Amino acid sequence: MSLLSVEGLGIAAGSLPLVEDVSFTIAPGERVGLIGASGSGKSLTASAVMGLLPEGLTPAGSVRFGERELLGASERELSRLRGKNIAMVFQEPMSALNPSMRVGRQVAEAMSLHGTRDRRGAKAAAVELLGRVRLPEPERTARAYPHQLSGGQRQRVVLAIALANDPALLICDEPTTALDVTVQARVLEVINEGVRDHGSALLFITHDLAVVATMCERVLVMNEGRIVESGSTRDVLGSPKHEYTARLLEASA
Amino acid sequence: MTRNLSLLAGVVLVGLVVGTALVSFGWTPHDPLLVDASVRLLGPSGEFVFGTDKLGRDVASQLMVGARTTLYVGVVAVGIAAVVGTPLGIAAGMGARWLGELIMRVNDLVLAFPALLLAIMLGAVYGASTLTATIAIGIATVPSFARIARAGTLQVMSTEYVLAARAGGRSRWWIALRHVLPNISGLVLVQSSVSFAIAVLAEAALSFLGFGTAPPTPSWGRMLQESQELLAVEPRLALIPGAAIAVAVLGFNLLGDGLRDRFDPRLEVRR
Amino acid sequence: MISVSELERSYRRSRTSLTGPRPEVHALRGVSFDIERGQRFGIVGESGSGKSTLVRLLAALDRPTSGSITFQGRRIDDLPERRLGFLRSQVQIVFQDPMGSLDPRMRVRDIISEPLGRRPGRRERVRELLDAVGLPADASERYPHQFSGGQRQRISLARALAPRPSVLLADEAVSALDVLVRKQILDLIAELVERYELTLVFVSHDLGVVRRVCDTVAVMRAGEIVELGPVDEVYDDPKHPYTRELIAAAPNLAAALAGLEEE
Repeated sequence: MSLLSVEGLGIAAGSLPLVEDVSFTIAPGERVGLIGASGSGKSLTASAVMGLLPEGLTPAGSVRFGERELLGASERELSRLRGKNIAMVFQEPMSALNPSMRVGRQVAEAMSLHGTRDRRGAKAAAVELLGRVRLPEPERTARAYPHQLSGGQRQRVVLAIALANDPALLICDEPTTALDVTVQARVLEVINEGVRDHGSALLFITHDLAVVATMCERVLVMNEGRIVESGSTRDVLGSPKHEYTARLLEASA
Repeated sequence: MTRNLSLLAGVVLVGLVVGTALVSFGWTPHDPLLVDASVRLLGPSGEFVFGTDKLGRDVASQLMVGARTTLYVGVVAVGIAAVVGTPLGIAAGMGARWLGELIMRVNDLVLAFPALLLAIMLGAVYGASTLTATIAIGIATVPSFARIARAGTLQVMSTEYVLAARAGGRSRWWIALRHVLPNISGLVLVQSSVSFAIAVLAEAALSFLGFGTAPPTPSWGRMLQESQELLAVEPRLALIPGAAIAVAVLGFNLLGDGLRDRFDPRLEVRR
Repeated sequence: MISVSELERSYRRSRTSLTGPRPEVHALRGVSFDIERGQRFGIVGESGSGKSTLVRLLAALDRPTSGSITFQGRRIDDLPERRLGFLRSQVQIVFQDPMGSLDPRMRVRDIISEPLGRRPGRRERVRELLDAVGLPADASERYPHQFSGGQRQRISLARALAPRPSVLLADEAVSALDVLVRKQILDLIAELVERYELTLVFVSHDLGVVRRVCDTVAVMRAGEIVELGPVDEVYDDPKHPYTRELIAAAPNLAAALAGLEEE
């Protein structure tokens, strides 16, 4: 039984196809990487899964989460799933956080909003979560505003919010691209631990082959809106079948 | 598609106002100034399309001649404000820190000074007229242009293409003319259309208070003013010039937005 | 070629409170090095290390708080803009952001010929440069937004080469590009440096990228150079703990794949 199953997903802007015939599944707890150049359609694919496609883009095909069909589901139904069963971490941590709200409250709100915890429980749980993503002095950090934190710390807060409700699926879209290398290494570690501790499956989008190799057991390679190769990370990156994957590997070595 | 639509709508509405003003030089259905007590407060009819006012003057003819005043005030006031304000804003954004501070503080002073008081002062010295009202409105609008131009300039000056131009040995003048001005022109254009609307309304207000266009010259603002006492009995007399002002303001706003998009090369591909 | 001595640069940040002094940020705290003619000098550091400040100072787009920079034996750090003419054609920069470094309202021919001024033969020069960076001749009439990120970096390179500089400064010039495009632009930079006998100063947060194009590298942290030497030596046998941390933290495909094999 797969957790997420995408079948024949297509995304078009009017008559211009951006993503075509994308199919893949993710099993519970599985960590899947989605790699490709910018413009390959990998971020659009993730947006379609979240039901967050920009206006003017229309999806076709099927995206099933468990038993539920997400394409065509009502906004109400989707917003109940989002942040609770499916959570997302974006590239830019600053714009993902509310600049005028203390980060502890933002984490707590993620829980009380979906009714996973009551108000008081959420507050304590938020501090604990901030500690779990290895933010220093979680109690003090909870009282900080986003601009008082560094980029890496902000991304950990975003991760804490994403993990707050033990989502079955965590989608990360280039979560460390905006970060320094030394910071990136630590944030990747925290993501790894987070999905393990919360039992979440991971869909990890990146253009960096080395990152995907450290994070994921299975990998999908996208080029020009299509999945050109998929398989275990070891097979795909160790002995690529498709010419595009081979070129990516050569350029990354 | 929608962009072209807004440009088209803007051109049509502004064209309507400009056309009316032009036609009024050669022809109006009646003499707009002719007072005739026998035809006071008539409703719209074949002879008087929009009816007559309390002095028996033809509203349609007044409206046509009033369009001239409106255009004159809008174009001249915005012209003064843009021509003075934009270079000031660019200078404030590109010049030395003290210069920028100086310009912006003076700017704040002008901004704090009510346009109405300025119009009254100018009117007291030179006699209240459409011109004094227009100049007062123009001066009072300079700060908006200076401010928006400065904000745009600061943004452009922080870009890497300006750094590259400096590294290529380009002078400040070149950077101001080739990089800053074209890239803030959209902002200035939008500000112009907004300011045009405000200027037209301000002239109406000043005329209403008696510090603008003097009687008997027709102006949409004065027509509004004269309709005031009869608002309850003859709302038509307020609604018609009001609608004309709305049409002009909307037209110039749409035209401003449309032109900005039309001349932005970045938007070309989306057509 | 370029000699930097005890360079410091500090900024005053905007006031955080009404009273009290404005906080000072030390972007560079005493940096010294020499760059020889024809050298490919890499500068590696993370955000906040002062590497971008350093590039701006080398291009005389900013002034140091103290210390000196000499270019071909002439002090440039204290010259007024009007006396920097000789430097303006000698030192050129390519920036990171492929969109932000090209004026969206200028045609490519005007962008590339910008550093040339009113010199005669501009048209031919633009064609020559487009060819050198691998763009078609008809690119000259188009606007920047009509090009992909990699192509825009080629336009930036053409502009930088226009005045026939002797030094090319590349500030994170490939960081915003995808792996495949990154490799092409890196290869192009290496080729151009070779062909025009340029001295290259290549700034990046990515040690791996620097290793591909540079022979010497300076590792910066918090406004200081912590390690400086031949790039292979620094990479294979880092002396400073920070350099070691940087190398260890960089995602390494070979190591990651080896790890997968063992499982």
